[in-house]
Amino acid sequence: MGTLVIVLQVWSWIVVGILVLYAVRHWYFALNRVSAHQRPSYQDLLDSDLPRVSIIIPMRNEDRVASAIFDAIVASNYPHDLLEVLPVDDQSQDETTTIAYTYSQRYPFIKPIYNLHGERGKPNALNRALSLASNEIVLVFDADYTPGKDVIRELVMAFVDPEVGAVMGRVVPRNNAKSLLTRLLALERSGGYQVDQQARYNLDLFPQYGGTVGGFRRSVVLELGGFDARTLAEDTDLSARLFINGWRILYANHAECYEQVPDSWSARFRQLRRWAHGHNRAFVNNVIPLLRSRKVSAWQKIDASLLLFIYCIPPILLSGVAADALLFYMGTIPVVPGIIFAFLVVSFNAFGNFAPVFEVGAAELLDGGRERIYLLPCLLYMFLFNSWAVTVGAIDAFGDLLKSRRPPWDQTQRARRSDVPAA
Amino acid sequence: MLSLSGRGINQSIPPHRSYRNLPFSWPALLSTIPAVLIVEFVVVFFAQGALDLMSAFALAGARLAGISVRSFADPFLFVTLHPMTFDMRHNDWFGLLMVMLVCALIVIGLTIWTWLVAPLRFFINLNALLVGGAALFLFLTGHLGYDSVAFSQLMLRTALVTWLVIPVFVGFFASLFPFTVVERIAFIALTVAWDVPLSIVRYMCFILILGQTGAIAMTDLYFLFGPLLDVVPVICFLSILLVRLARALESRRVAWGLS
Repeated sequence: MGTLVIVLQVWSWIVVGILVLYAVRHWYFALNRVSAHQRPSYQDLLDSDLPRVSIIIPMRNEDRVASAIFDAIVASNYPHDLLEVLPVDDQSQDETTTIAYTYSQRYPFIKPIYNLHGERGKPNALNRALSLASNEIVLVFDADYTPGKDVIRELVMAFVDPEVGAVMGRVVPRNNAKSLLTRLLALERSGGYQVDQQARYNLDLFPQYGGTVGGFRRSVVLELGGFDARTLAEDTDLSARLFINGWRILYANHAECYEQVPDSWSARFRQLRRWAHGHNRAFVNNVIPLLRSRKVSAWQKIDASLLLFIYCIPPILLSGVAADALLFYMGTIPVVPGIIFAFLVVSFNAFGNFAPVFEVGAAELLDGGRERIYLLPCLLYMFLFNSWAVTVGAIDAFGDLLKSRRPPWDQTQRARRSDVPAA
Repeated sequence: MLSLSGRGINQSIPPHRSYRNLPFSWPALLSTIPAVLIVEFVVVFFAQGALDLMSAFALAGARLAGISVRSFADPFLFVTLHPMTFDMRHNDWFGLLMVMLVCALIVIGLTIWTWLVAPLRFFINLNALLVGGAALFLFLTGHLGYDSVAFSQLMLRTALVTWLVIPVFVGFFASLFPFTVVERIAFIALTVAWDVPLSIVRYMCFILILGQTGAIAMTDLYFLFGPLLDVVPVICFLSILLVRLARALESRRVAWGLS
């Protein structure tokens, strides 16, 4: 019993230590974002010699949203003669195929790709489209995203810098008025992009290519072996591989793309579970090469490792809760770490997509938010939900890894188009 | 906000949000440290009185409810606490089995029937797991780690440490935002001022609840509801102050820093 108590107490302290590390890291990010000079991307560069660009849109059963993204791309400011839009129809069973075909008849630069028999899933769809794309610069949009008019130009401009391997834009929810869940997810996104991503970009650390509104150099990705179909977070995996090989990832905070966040708890649970699965797989695949890489500085290695490790935190946190509960049953809970633990849980990891409450608050101030800031305490509502969803995803990932299984692809359920107000 | 009103243009153009900074100064950030120290000093100065009040309130409440209590002195850090023994309901083996059964049914039921919104289901399940776990531990070992004296002592010690820790945490949050020094001190002091009466009332309520339920509710109360009641108000105060700050930023003539 004595040994068990010591083990549990040590574990409790370790969990507190990990949470303190992340809390300080995010505090520093928030401080940097609110106060320091913001590192610009190339959004203000006006270039009359725009490059040709391929836009890949992986699609499966997207008839609720397909028209919206085609309309948005058609309405963009980028010259149509420089565009090649490649919607990849991944064995859809609804009207997606018809919608893509209709648009391709009207706009010749839209060239649908039909994956009728091959393996399904976003990485496979991306690899297929990459092999057919005719341009060096490739942008990727998820089908439920609506790019703003200037987004294509702003993202493409990043590649005037020959060191940039990938670029990521900002994601802004457009259906946040729908429910409490969508409002809370909008807060999370705000903290994650406006503060977290921008600060990591400012500090020359590890801004992440998110795979939903961004782009990359086709030749570089092909050279790195394309997208890994064994992972459910092909974007994180690509970010890590680019970084390890010395390519820079640029975050364009000004390039806003509007998305539909999940509007049901079950859809959100599946999304988080998938992210956790893929992210943990990316962590296992890339952490050793990252630490060995000679093209990455020590600070970049630390930050990238912490970022790749972040989906391991909820399981660790829940194990800390279980350890403290056991210590309480045995009458040996230490008061000080217990209290610090509680504060850290609620103030840091309790809040959403790993954006602590102060980061979300800072982001909302920068975004010009007012009354919606009153919802900050409601983020606590999602604590157990998020922790459990991510923990299940982590268990899935390590189970698949042990058994060398390929994970089944799962897609986030789309909101109905009628539920979504115009952007 | 960049005002153009003096140039014959009757509108103002705020910078795009991706270019904005908050008005920020290092002296303002560093003023958080003396603000925290001032509140800590006040806490240290008044802690003994507040803890005595906490014990007296709980004693009076318990006696009113007909629970037999007796307090004694317990030196801790720089104060003397007065934890107390109090009668708790005895949990027999049949009662423990019933509690375990009900908790298991709740967890299974809420896993199968998903009509309740997911976060609430998870919250209820966590409560059921903590209570059921305590019942199982009691059933297997015959005792929980804390009897009434130890629990009372733990609650008082936790209250004191919480009052000392809260200003540091709140200062940590507050340091990022362009509050005035007065707002900064008020924010930190307000959270402690809220937590002291909360701790007093909560301590009495927990003792009354434990008198009725026995030790099986102890983990749930101390472990879940205790921290929840401490921390949620901190975030509520922060959100209220941030909304005030957001309004102030909008109304100021030059609000946004441009990087």
